[in-house]
Amino acid sequence: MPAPVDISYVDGEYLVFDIDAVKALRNEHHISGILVGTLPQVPQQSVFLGLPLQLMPEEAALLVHFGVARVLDEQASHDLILSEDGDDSAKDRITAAESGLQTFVTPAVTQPSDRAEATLPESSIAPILDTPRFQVYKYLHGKGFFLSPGLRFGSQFLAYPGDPLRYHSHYLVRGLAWDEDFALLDLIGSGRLGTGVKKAWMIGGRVPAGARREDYASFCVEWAGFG
Amino acid sequence: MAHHQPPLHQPSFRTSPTHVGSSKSRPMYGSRGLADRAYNAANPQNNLINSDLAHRVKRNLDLQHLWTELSIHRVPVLAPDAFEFLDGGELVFVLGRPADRLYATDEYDEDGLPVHEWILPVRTESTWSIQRTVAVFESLEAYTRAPVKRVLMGMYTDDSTVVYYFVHKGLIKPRKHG
Repeated sequence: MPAPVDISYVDGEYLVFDIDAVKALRNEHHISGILVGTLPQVPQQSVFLGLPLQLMPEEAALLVHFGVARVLDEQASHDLILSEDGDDSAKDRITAAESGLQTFVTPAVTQPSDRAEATLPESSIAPILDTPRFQVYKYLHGKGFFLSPGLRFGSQFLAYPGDPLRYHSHYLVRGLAWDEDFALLDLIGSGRLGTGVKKAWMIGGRVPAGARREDYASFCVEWAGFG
Repeated sequence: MAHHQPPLHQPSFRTSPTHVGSSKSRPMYGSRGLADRAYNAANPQNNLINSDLAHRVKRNLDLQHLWTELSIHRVPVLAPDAFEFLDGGELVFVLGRPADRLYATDEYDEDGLPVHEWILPVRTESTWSIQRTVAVFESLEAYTRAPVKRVLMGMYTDDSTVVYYFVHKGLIKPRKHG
């Protein structure tokens, strides 16, 4: 069992700072996230971004849910280190790190033991697990799709049949509760937009336990090509 | 919720598909137009079971899109709880044969003709849900005693525009253009 991936929880965002973890998430877990860090050499450009990797809440929740990752509360971690044992060990470590500072690399002042104490309990992601967004994310991820944010097409997610660097997306995704109403004008708008960009509008919802065989119902909407 | 069907919308064509397809027996226009419109505006959900709506969609397929073998079917709903309003527990569908196949990947039937399609007429003002879509497929499969992979929704609005969208069951590969 490899060590869990550390996801830093900073001001409501889920970030990954370890490049090996980023590679593992993409190659082994079909989670691509979004690189959001500017490059120190060329801070003005935004075409190519680097670490950290930002995860959608659903991605972080799924990783924790499957035991692949843990979420670290960076605020708590910070407070913990500075309040620790009064012997200025954290300050000493900062001073020591800064004295040898040659590049703009953030000095590592935390110890693994510090980090474990700031781990958020698994219950911190519980509210995410109950949303239709998470359920549709889990459903498509379980079928091998990569998902990315869907805002560019007015949906919750875009679903790719493989790595987004190699494939175009197939679906504009919207997760719904079983009996949640949506306007047919949404179906028309999203269906026409999706067809125009060679995608389908995919909607899905978790089926309540009981009579039916499958536990998740999904549908794809496309313009009929006439009318 | 009280089931309410105003008298002027009593369907007069509950009989065979050949009868409902005849243009002579349909009181379609005239003084009913304004009453229809007021009623429709007040009850957008109810129009999904309005048989007049099915006739309008059917006529649009017939005259504008040159479909053939059109007929209207009243399909008993297996899960009526999913619908706010239902006309006697039934959904009204149109069945017809397109002028040409709708997907380049579709097979033609043994006579070399495009396959029949099921169309569910609805009003653009109404809302829909996963539960209701599941109920549509289950009801239609029970009615046809065969798997149904896709349904066309024929969405009608008060300016006479009708738009058609495929709803496929499950995940399908998006349409290839051309």
